[in-house]
Amino acid sequence: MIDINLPILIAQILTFLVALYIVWKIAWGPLVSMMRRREDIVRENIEKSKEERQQAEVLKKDYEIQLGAIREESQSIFSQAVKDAQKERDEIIRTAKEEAGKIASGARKELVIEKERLVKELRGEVAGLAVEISKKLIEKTIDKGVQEKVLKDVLDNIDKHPVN
Amino acid sequence: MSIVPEAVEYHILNIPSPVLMMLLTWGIIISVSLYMRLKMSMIPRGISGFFELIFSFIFNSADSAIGPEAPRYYPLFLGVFVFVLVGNFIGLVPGFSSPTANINITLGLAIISFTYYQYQGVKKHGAKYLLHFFGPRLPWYLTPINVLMFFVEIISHFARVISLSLRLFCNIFAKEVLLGILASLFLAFFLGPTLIEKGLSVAVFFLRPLIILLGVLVSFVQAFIFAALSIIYVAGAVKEGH
Repeated sequence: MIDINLPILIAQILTFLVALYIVWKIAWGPLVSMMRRREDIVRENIEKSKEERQQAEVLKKDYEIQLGAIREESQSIFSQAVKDAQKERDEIIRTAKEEAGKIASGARKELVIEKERLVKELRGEVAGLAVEISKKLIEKTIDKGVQEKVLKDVLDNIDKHPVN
Repeated sequence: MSIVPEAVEYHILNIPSPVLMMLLTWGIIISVSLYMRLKMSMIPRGISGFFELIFSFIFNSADSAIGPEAPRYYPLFLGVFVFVLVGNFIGLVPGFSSPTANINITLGLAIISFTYYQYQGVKKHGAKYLLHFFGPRLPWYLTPINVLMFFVEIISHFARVISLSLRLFCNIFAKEVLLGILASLFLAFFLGPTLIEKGLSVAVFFLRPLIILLGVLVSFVQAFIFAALSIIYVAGAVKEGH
């Protein structure tokens, strides 16, 4: 069993070399190529994802800076708007007060004028009424000279006591 | 009749049994590899994934020993590993014997490995490769030591062929003999005329499965040792320092 058989030895060597060549060409070689290709793809993808992650980090920082600037700007715009609104409100209130003051003083003046007019009218009517009453009384009691004197006294008395 | 009782002597076209088993081994390897080629896809699964597992195992071993130049030598390492592994496993199938249980087959493999790494060494370093057999440069008066080292190195390199082939052959042959004897005991249990004979051979029922399991382990370990030593020899030949 341990004797060296040269034909078997040579057959083994030749078969091994030929069979290995065949199996490498038809199956193992393509599989090894595919494994290397896959390794390359995986390596490329890892590198690509690293680069993309770095780019994303840079973009994120940019966006954060921009967001901060936008936030500050919006804050200043908002506070300016609040200030403007307060100013506008104060202006409106002031104008309204002025308008109201004007309207009130106008109304007061009209009221005074109307009162004066009414007082005059009333005074005239009272005077007329007093004259009528006096006329009728005097006609019945006294002569014409006395009537006129009395009438004059009455009228003077009215003038001395104005209506408020 | 073979010394291995279990093995059947085949007489097909007057081809010796070891050669027939060796051809069968290659037939199985090529058939399965072709099937794998048809099923091959970028996403490893099924038989293609299994092949990739074996390939990666050998490639990693070669890469760690040789370095970036290792891919140039992949075909031999893969061929040696797969052939020895499948050849060893064939012997575990009843009715078949491992081609690696024949010294001529293992010696052939060892000669291929030896010739390959010597060739790669000369190819890589040229004449400088032969100088490394003399050992480190010593003063002129120690030249006889260099000459002695040359002969020692030459002997050690040829001893590698013997150790490679004998290690594999002895392990697998022992496994085959053991399995053959257990198969004979199996027959003795059923065909034995006396009760004593049956009683003595009953142990075969749990011993044989255990030995087959051990055979699987030995088959894998021996295939790996052969491939690993080939890798180490190639690494020693092609690495710098010669």
